[in-house]
Amino acid sequence: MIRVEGLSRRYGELIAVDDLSFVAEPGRVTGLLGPNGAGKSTTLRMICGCLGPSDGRVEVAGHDVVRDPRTARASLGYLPESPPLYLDMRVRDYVDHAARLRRVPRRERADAVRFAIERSGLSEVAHRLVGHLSKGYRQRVGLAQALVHRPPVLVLDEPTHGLDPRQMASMRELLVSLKEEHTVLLSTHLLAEATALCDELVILAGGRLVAAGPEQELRRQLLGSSRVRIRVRELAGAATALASVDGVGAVEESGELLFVSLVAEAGPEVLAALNAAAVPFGLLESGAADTLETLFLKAVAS
Amino acid sequence: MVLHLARRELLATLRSPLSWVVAGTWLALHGVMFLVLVNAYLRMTSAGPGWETDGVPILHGLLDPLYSAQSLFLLLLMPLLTMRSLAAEQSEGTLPLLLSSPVGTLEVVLGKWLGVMGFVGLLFLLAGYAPAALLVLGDPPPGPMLGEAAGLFLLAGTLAAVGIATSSLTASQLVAAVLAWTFSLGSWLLAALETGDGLMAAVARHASLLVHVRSFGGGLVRSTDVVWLLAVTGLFLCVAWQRTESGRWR
Repeated sequence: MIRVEGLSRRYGELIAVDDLSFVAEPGRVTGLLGPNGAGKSTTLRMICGCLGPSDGRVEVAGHDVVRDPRTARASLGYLPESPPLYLDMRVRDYVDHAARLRRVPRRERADAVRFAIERSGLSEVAHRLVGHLSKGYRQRVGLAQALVHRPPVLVLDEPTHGLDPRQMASMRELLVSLKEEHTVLLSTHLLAEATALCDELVILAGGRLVAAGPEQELRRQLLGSSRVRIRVRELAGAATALASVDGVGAVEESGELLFVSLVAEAGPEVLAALNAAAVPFGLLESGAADTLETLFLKAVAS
Repeated sequence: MVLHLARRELLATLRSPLSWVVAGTWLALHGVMFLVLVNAYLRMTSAGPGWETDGVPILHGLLDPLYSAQSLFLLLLMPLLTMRSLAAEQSEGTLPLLLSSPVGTLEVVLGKWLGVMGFVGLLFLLAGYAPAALLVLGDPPPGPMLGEAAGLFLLAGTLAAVGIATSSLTASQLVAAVLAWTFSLGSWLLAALETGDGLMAAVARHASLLVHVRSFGGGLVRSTDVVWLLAVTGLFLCVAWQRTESGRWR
């Protein structure tokens, strides 16, 4: 588990992270979502002990990262945005180096390295030089070093950054599978990735918390209403019939069309109400009133 | 952990083309200087083999100049061996691996230093043909030879610490090397001011690296010089340690 309380980081006058609090629970993927410059990487660097906080505290697996840094750091694996790779090393040697740095006991080291290489899908390239690998494989090597000591907590900064669509899909599959064993905290500026990967979202903008909660709940809050376009012959009758239906919000007329905003669950009642009022209609189109993206941008802009 | 980090640093140094260019340059300069000095010494004694029986002692005629030359080579070349150490970790983005691991930054710095010293040890072994040839062909005094070897190794250790400290200050390897050269050059210039009575001469006698190393040339291993060199080495390693650690708070 990761517990962040009142975390702040200042660089002189600039406040990169401002009074941030959230919890990343075990068995779930928590996504730190925000535009570039929102303070995501700074937050992750503070969680991993690479950067000291100006205020507040961070606990990793129950250990304070400032007061008990070694134990806290031993409990986490960190993949920075740019994987920290030694290009002159072979993949297996590099993962072994990471295992030694994480103080994996000598007797367990060979197994740990084999496990991390297999888990990250690197068996085919284990003997190759890191510098000779493609971007996708390098990202996997970065992941292998983060999980070689099987830490309870994994912190991944933009883990799919720079990958092509195929590599991205396979990396996402791998990341989702990691939550069975680890508390996973990752950052992304891609909404599609956040919704595809994360169970919990923490939305940041300008270093501050904008919204946080389970992905489904945030989605419901943000995508609370759908917008349905209905072609009707009797606009007035239809509008009156719909006004009394629970879950229906604004009804706007435009020529022969009605634009109806409604919560997703209210769809059947809308149809029933139109049928009951005997208003002939044809359903033309339904869709989200706002995409998650536009709502996210609104939230961030505010 | 320190030994593992030292091994990693040594392997990285061995894999770097620059290290081998430095090693080749050092060995070439050393070889040329050795031949020139042996030749000059033979002409001075004008006797060929059996030089040790003639008037010019081998210590002053050959060993001392060779020792001085090697000290200068180290001043010039050590910054090239150390400029990579912490600067590359910063510029290539590998520092987070070390900083997020349960490893102290002091261990990291000591590992780097030991790794560089491992490579220097290897160079010294390769350059061992010169004393071996002297031992086979003549009868040089072993005391000064051992003293000079110790002096050079201590000097290399101090310069390695200086270089690692400068490479902790910047992500640019070139800047790190230039800063270390500035120290080397300053030390050299300071040593030139040693003669005389003024304040500068007194400062030079106490503060110049080369002055403290020079006494080893006569085979005189003074504890004050050893302590001075070790203290400066420790001081610069502390600078590197604190600079790297304070990176978390900048």
